[in-house]
Amino acid sequence: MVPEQPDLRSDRPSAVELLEIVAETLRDVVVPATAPAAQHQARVAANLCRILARELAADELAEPELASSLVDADDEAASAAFTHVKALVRAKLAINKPGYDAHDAAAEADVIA
Amino acid sequence: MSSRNSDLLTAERLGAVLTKQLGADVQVHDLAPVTAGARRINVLFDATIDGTEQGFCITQQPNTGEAFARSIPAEVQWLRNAHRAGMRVAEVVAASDDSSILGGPFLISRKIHGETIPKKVIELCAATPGLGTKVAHEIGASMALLHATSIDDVPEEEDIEPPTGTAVEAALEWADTELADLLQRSPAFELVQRWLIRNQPSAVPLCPIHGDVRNGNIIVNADGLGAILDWETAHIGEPFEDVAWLAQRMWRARNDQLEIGGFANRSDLRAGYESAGGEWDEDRFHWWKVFRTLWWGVGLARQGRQHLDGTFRSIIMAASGRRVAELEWDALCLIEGR
Repeated sequence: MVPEQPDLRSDRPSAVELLEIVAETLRDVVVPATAPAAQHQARVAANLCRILARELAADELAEPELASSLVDADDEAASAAFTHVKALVRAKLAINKPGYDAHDAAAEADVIA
Repeated sequence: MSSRNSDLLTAERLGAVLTKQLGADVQVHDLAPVTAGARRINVLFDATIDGTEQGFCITQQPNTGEAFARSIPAEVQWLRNAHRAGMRVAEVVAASDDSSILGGPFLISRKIHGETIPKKVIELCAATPGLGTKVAHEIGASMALLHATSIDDVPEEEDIEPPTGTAVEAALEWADTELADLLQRSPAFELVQRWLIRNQPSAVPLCPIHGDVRNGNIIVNADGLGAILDWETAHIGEPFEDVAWLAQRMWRARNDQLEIGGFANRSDLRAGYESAGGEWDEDRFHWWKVFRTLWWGVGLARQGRQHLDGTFRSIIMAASGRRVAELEWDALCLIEGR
C-alpha cells in the first residue's frame, strides 16, 4: 500500500507495511515453530496486526449523531437510528472482520425459513 | 496451567483411583490431553480392567485457588440427573473435590468416540447423509427431557441463585445493568435492548437448563449424538434460553446456511424437542436467540475490559473486544424489520 503523497517525516516501510510483515512473520515463521499451547495466541497476534493495518489504512468515518440512549427512542427515531447504527457496525467489521456482513438480515431470514 | 497439576495426574495415580472405585485391578495407560491451555484440563486415557480395555476421560479443575462457577460435586449431580432423565451424557464413574488425590478436583467419565471440534462435526455431518438431521433431533429430544425434570433436583450451590421473577425479567434486568457498565456505549445493543423490551414473550415456568449446548460442546460420531458435554454453566432458566443458544451464528463455523451449528435446520431440532414432549414456540425461540446474541456480545466486551483493567490480561481477551462488532451485526440482523 503506497501512500499517494510520500510522508517525508517517516521512512518506508510504512506503519501499515510493517504490520503486514509482522503478521506474515507470526503466521509463517513463529506459529509453526511454537509450542501448541502458544500457537493460538501467536495466531491471534497475527490477526490483530492485520486488524491494525486495516484500521490505519481505512478512511475516517464521520461519527453519526445519535440520541444519548436509543433504548427509549420512539419508532421513528429508532428506525432512523437503525440505518446509521448499521453503517457504523459495518465500518467496524470492515476493519475487525472483513466479509462478515456478507451474511445479512435477508440471508439469515432465508436460513431460518 | 496444566503443568501445575501434571505431577499428580499420572497413570499410576489414576489406576489407583479406578482400582478403588471399581473394585477391580486397573492399569491405566496412554494418557492424551485434549485441551491444552484451557481453564479446565481434559485428558483421555485407556485402562486395562481385569484384562479388558476400556476408555475414559478425566476432567480436572486446576488447583490454582481460582473460583470456578461450578464445583465438581455439583457438576456430577447435574450429570447424574441428566443421565437419569434419559439425556445423552457421559457416564460418571468416579469424582472427588479432594485436590490431594490428583492435583485438583476431578471427575472421570467413560470415553465416548466422535468429533468435538465444530468444523469436524460439520464435515462429518456433511459427509454422512442424514447425520446432521439425526444429531439435531437427538439434541432436541435430550434438551426436552432435561427441561421436564424438576428444579427441586438441581444441586444447591452458594453462588448460584435461581432468578426471582421470570427468566425474561432476569434477562432484561441483566441487559440493563450490563449495558450501563460497558467501557463505551453500544448503540447497536441499545437498539437490541429496546427490541427485547418491546417484544417480551409471556412467562413460562422455570426449569433446569444446560446453558451451553452448542456445536463445540457435543460429541458426534457416525451413529449420531454421542453426548452433550460441559455442565459448568447449567442453571435454572427457561427452555428457549437453552434451545436458542444452538442457533447462534458463531457456532456454525462459517457454514451459515444451516442454522443449527452449521449442520442442521431448526425444523430438525424442533422435531426432536417435540418428540420428547417439549412444547415449541417460534416467537419465544426468536426472542431468546436475540437475547443470547446480545448476551455473548456483552460477554466479549467484558473480556476486553478484563484485559484493560488487569483482571485477566491476555491477548485473547484483548482480541475479544474487537469481536463485539460481529455480535452487534448478528443481533441487528435478527431484529431488522421485526
